[in-house]
Amino acid sequence: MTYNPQDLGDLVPPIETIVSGGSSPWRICVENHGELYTMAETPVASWHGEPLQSPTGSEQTVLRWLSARGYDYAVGGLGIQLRVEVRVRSTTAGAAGDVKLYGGTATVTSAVVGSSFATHTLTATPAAGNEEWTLALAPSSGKVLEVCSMVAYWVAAAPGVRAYPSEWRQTLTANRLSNVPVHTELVGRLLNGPVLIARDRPVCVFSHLWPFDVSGATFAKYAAWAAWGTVNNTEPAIVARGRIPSSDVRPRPYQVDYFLRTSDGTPGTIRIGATEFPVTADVWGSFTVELGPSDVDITAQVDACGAGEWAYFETIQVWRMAP
Amino acid sequence: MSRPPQFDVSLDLLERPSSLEDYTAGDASIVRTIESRQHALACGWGTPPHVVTLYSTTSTGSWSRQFLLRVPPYCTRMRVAVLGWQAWGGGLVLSVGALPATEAFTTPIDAVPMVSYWDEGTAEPASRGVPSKCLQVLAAPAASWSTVVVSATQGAVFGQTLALAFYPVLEQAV
Repeated sequence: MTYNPQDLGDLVPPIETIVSGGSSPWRICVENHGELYTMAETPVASWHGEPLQSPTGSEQTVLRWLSARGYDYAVGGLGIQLRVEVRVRSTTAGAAGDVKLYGGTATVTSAVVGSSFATHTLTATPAAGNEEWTLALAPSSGKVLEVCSMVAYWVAAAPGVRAYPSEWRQTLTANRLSNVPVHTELVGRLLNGPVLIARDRPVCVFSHLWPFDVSGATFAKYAAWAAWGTVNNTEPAIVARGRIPSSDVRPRPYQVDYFLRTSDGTPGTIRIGATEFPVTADVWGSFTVELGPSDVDITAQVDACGAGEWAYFETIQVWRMAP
Repeated sequence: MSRPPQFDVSLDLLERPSSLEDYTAGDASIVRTIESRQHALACGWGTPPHVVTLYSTTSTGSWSRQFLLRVPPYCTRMRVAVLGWQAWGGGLVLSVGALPATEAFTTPIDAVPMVSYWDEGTAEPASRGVPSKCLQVLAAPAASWSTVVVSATQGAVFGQTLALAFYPVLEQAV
């Protein structure tokens, strides 16, 4: 059984009266309630761009991001998992190694074969309390792997009949039968179910990810603006601009998570619209900003660093917070 | 750039918990509210845009990229808007798998001034006449989220960075 929209042509179907438990519109409402818990696959992070390469024959962490902090996720064991789909290939034919996802209760791997990009799906159960995930390329000896695109999102198993930490609750089979009284608690459960799911799974509306590379070789191979960073910079500089698209018709709070990785602790700044937020280097940071119903620029800046030093934004994620 | 009207599935639908005290006895709006909230969540909670930023170190000539795109349930088309651009001339073609070539999305970069939006820092693509267009991403509606592979080809003299936003198109907007 899947979520069953009653009328795709209108968000407010033309139902004139509240009907009793056995009739179709009401029964569908009750059945959809549980389906939505599974269907809400909210985005967590994404990255796309010029293919990132691993070193020859040695494992390389290529992307790192944080996950949302929902109650149902944080408790663990409730069937909520992180799913990552990633396009990977080898630069040569044949078996070439693995793509790996770290951060769950166990490391998830998928074997990479061939020189054409193929989609690999990695699904991990979150470790209790963990919010940080990393994707790594682990080529075999003499091989090189490349990644060109990644999306990460939550998936949930069919819900059980229990009290969820998010306060969401499943409906009972008896609620769907004919001639069953429609009691107040059930109506409230149906009214608030989508709200509680949305509140527990914030949506990532913007993400910038770039690999950790202590050698600074990233900047030799890729343009600094692609990495949202700089090297040998002797004065403060804007290193990148992005755009956060409008995602609602009214002002709403957004949370920004970031990690500015540097060789010497150089701090930076993230500007969203006309507001600047100071950024501390080499530690996860976060701030909240309210955005209106229009697109807004996001600008990354780093302060001056010394000769031979470097600084770049490894991760920026912007979350639209739930109501 | 404001969202086009057909995307205004306001998050107000999911704004706050409700109780029966908000409704009068026999009020049909209770059922409507339940259905509306369920549908808003099923379609991706207000159909959030998916932002894709493509990078290339190719300073001259054309380049191609593949990227993954998540498609909400019951959605077959997505509106593509240009959020930012560091490119000179050329054109962009987006296509999804074996869908008919006539459905491919082409941005007429001829309409774009020969400057970088991000370098200027102020202009909005919509005000510069850059169109947003619809890209068919699935041949038929699916009852769950889908992941499709989008191929992007930039035929630019200088084609470096491109930021796109994908807005799901609700089927009633077709």
